[in-house]
Amino acid sequence: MNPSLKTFKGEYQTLLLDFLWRQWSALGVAGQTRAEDDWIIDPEALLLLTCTVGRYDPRLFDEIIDWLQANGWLINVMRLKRILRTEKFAGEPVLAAIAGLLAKGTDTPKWKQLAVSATPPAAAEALFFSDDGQPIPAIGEPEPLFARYGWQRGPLRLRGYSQEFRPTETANLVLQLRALFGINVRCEIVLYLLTHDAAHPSQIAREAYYFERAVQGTLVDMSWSGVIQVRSASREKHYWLKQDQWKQLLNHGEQSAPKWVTWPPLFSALERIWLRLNDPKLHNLESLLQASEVRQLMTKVRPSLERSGFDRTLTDDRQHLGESYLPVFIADVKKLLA
Amino acid sequence: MQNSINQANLDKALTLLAGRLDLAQSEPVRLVVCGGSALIAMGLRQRTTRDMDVVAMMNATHELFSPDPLPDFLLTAAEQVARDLGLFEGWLNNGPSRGEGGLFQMGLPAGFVGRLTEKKYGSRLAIHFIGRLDQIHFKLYAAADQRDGTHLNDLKALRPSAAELEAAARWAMTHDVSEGFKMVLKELLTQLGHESVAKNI
Repeated sequence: MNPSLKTFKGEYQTLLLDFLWRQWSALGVAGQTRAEDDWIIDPEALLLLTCTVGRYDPRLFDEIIDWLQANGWLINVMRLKRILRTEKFAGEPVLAAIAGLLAKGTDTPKWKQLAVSATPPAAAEALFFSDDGQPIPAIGEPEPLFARYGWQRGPLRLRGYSQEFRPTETANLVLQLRALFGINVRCEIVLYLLTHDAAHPSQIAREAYYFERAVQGTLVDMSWSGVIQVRSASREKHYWLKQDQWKQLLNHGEQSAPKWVTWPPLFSALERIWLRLNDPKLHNLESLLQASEVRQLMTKVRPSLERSGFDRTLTDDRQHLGESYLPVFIADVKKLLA
Repeated sequence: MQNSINQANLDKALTLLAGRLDLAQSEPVRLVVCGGSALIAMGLRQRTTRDMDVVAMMNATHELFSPDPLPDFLLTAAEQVARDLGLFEGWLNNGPSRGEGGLFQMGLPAGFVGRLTEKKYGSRLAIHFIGRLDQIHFKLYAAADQRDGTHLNDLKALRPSAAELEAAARWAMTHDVSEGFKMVLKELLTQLGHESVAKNI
C-alpha cells in the first residue's frame, strides 16, 4: 500500500469541498468564505458536481437545498439536462431526489421533469458519507422523499439562511443575466460575448451547452437590436458586442474582465478523479500499478480539462515514468483546485 | 525518447502488465516469447531490445495456438504499460508469427514445448521463454533470411555446436525450401566456422 495516494485522497476531498463551499457561498449559500475569483460560476455544473462530492459534507448538501428552495428559479433545468447528456456525471440519481423535493408543492414543471428522469439505486443507499468514507446511517426518522428515491438520510431541517446572490460580483454574472433576461439562451450568449472578442454560434452552443440551432436563431434575432454586432469572417458569421458598455450597464465597469471557464468538462474530470481516488482497491495496489492507474485516468480526463479552458496546465506525464509519476499527479490535481 | 527493454525493466514491464490484466479481470494469458527479450530473460545474452516477440500462445492444457491476432485486452494493457514505462508502443507484438509465413504457422522445431521455461506474473500472466536450442533455430533462420547482423551476433553468443546448427539448418530449410536460401545458409554456416555442417545439408 502506498501511503501518499491514500493521504492525498483525504487532501483532495478537503480541496474539493472547500472549492464547492467557495463557489456556493459566492452564489449566496450561507457558510464559508466566498470566492473572489474572476471566473463566472456555472450553477448547473456546480450542482451536478455537488450531487456526488457534496455527499461527503451533509451540511454543505443541506445548505444547497436551502439555497435551491429560495433560488431554484434561477437554475436552467433544460441546460442541466443538456450537460448531463453531454458530460459524464455520476450524481443524476441524487439530483432526481433534490428535484423531487423542489417540485413538491410547486406548479413549475421543470423540477418535476428532472425528478422522474433518473433511475434510483437498486437497493436503498446511505446518502451521506463521513470523512473516512463510511456511510452515515439515517439518524432519526428517515426523510421520506429521499427514501422514495432510494436514499437513506435523516430528517431534512433547512435553516433558511441562504442569501440572495450579489449581482455585482463577477462570479454571479450568469445569475445576474438570468434575473435580467429570464432563464434562456440569451443569458449564455451575452455572457459568452462578454468574455470573448467574437464568437461563431457553434462555438457558443458547444461551450454553453445549447443546441446550435437555438443559439444561431437567437443570435440572428438579437442582432436585429443593433446591440449585438455581426461580422463576416471568410464564410462564417461571428457575433460580438461592445463589452465596456455592457459592463457599465451591468454595474461591472470597475471590475477586472470576467473569465469564461467551460465548467462542465472540468467538473466532470474532477469528479472522475474523485471517484477513482475513492476506490479502496486503488490504495491496495503497488505504487507502480497505482501510478499506471492514475496515469491512465489523467490521459482520459486530460481532453476534458483542456476543453474547459481552465488556465492550469498539466505536466507531460511522459517525462515522469513509472512510480515517479505519482507525486506529479498529486501536484497536478492540487494545482487544479488551488 | 523510448526506453529499451533490459534485464531490469523487462521484469518491471511484465509485472505491470500482469497487474493491469488483474485489474481488468481479464482471462489468463500464456505467452510463448522468443527473440531478444527471451535471450535477456534466460540470461543467454546481455543486451537490450525494443520489443517482446510472441511466437505462440498457450491454452490451459498447454497446447500452443497462433498468436495472430493477439487479444485486444492484452494489447490495451500493453499499450498502457508502454506509456507507463516509456517503451516502444508496439513493444509486445506477434511479429515472428504474423501471417501465413510466420514461425508458428510454418511449424516450430520438434520438442519445442518441452524446452520452454515458464515464469508466472500474478494470477493471469504466464510467460514461457523459449529454450536455447530453439533460439539457435530461430536465430539461424532469421540471420539467413534477413541477413541481419543482430541475429548473427545473437547466434554467435549462443555458441551453438555443429549438431545444434545442423538441426537448426534442416528446420530452417523446411520454412524456405528455395535453393537460394540453402546457398545463403551454407555460406553463413561456413562463416561461423562450421563447413562440415554446410556440406551436410
